[in-house]
Amino acid sequence: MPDLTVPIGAVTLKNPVIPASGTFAASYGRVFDLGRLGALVPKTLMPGYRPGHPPNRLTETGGGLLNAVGIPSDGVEAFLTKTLPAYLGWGTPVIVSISADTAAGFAELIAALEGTGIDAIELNLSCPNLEEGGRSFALDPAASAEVVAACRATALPLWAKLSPNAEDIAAVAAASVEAGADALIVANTLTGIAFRRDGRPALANVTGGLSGMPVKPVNLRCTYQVAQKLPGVPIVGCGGIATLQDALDYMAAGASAVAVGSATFSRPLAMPNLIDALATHCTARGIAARDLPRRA
Amino acid sequence: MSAASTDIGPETRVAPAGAPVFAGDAPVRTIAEDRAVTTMTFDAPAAFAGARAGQFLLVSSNREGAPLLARPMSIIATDPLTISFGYQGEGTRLIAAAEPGEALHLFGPLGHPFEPLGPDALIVVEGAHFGTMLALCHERRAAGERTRVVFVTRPPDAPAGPVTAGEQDAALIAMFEPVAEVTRLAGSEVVAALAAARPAAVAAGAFDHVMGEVQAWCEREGVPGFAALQVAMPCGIGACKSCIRKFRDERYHLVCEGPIFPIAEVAFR
Repeated sequence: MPDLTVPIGAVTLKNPVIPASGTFAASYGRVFDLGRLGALVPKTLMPGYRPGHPPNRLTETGGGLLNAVGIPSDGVEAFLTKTLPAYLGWGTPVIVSISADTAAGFAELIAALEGTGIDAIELNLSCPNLEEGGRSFALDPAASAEVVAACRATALPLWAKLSPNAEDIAAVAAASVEAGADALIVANTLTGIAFRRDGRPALANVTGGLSGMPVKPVNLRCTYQVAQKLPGVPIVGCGGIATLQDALDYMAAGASAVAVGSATFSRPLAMPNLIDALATHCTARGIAARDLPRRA
Repeated sequence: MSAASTDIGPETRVAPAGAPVFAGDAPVRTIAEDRAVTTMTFDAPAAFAGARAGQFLLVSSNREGAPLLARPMSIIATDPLTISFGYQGEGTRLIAAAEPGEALHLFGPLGHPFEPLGPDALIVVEGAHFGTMLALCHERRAAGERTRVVFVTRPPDAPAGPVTAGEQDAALIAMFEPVAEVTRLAGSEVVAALAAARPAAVAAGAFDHVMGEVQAWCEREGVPGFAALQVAMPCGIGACKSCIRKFRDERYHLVCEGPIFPIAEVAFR
């Protein structure tokens, strides 16, 4: 068995395959051993109760998915007492994804998560910034940096999840790292719209996040640009990853690990199967996962 | 791993709630079609052996061009594993096009089954919900319990995939008749049928306006009722948070955490 562990800053992943936040639940433990995954990532946590968007929240489009779930959340207390315990104890790191509508809101969430046994924080920067008219933090280097800086007091590693919708994602990445981000997740979903045959929007929110195979070339480009700009900063690639080749493509672009999302909805064993494929690939080449070829 | 998390060993692990779930390919054993209603059996994995009425699975084709997401199907029987569906879109059309021996991807069993309804239950069902209720009829018949079914019909000229609703309804009613006493009527007549039948329990899966009537009758008469909900289920296991329905507590709830709920809890109007 090859060594599949990969370091993402101070966190050592069991292997390079982790769930993309928002596409995973501990209930998948009924399907496979969650301890097999590189890390576990619960759905993004918001400070209080949020109903999320009304239905329809998700639709198929062009080989991918378009979603406008709206980050439903039961808030911190429910997360700590009901959700988080199901993710602990699997012998693999737990990365908690958080979001808020102000930079201070992010920091307050982290304070509530200190000492709970988690291993890192994912800052979901795609949430609207209420202090800037609802524009997503992730679109703006300064706004992203403000969130990271507000959270940097924690000793927990901070992973900033970037948006492919940003005009200059490398600039957002650089600002986030400058403010204290330990690693980057590149990237979230692309904003899109789909219509039904009758001309009505397919999603109640009208706009949604495109994920799956269609976004892969875009997010690969984002990964490459960020890796070129910030050599040495750990990157988790995300967007349209289902196969070994998809994972290797992201690594070639500069990622150290990959986050799998939409593929899990299609094939619940997508992640374990990808881990097996990576193990076979590394064994055949006599290399460890951390030695897989990377351009950056 | 942080210092805190290294203190947590397997002995403190929270076991996933629910029985093991199968995910993988299973070959189709038999296929039968009647007026665009396809019934399929599988050489089933052991995980499905204990599945009960109300539970479902996600099915998808492995063929080139198949949609990304699987389609939810009620589990009608487990020996052999049986699904039955009317097809309308590309996803279900590709599933229905499978040949005996062809492997389809299955994910299940998912959801929670019906609570016991007792010896005197009446089922209200409309075409799209027939799978869940047919499973319930089979289960009750196997337990020696009598079941009366009110089948709510659509106008014969309403489209139902490649056939008219009237034709498809006839095919579905024929599936119910061996295992239940079936009354066929329009939705507006459901309350009168309930009042005449005076059942001790009701299970319903139908159009929302019919469900609202059944809900009101159950509340008025103090009769326990259960709703079988049906929406698209992208993941089926609560990860995507997309299979939502508004409940009377003014919150959205995930249908996959049912799909059988006390009828009093669901907002139909």
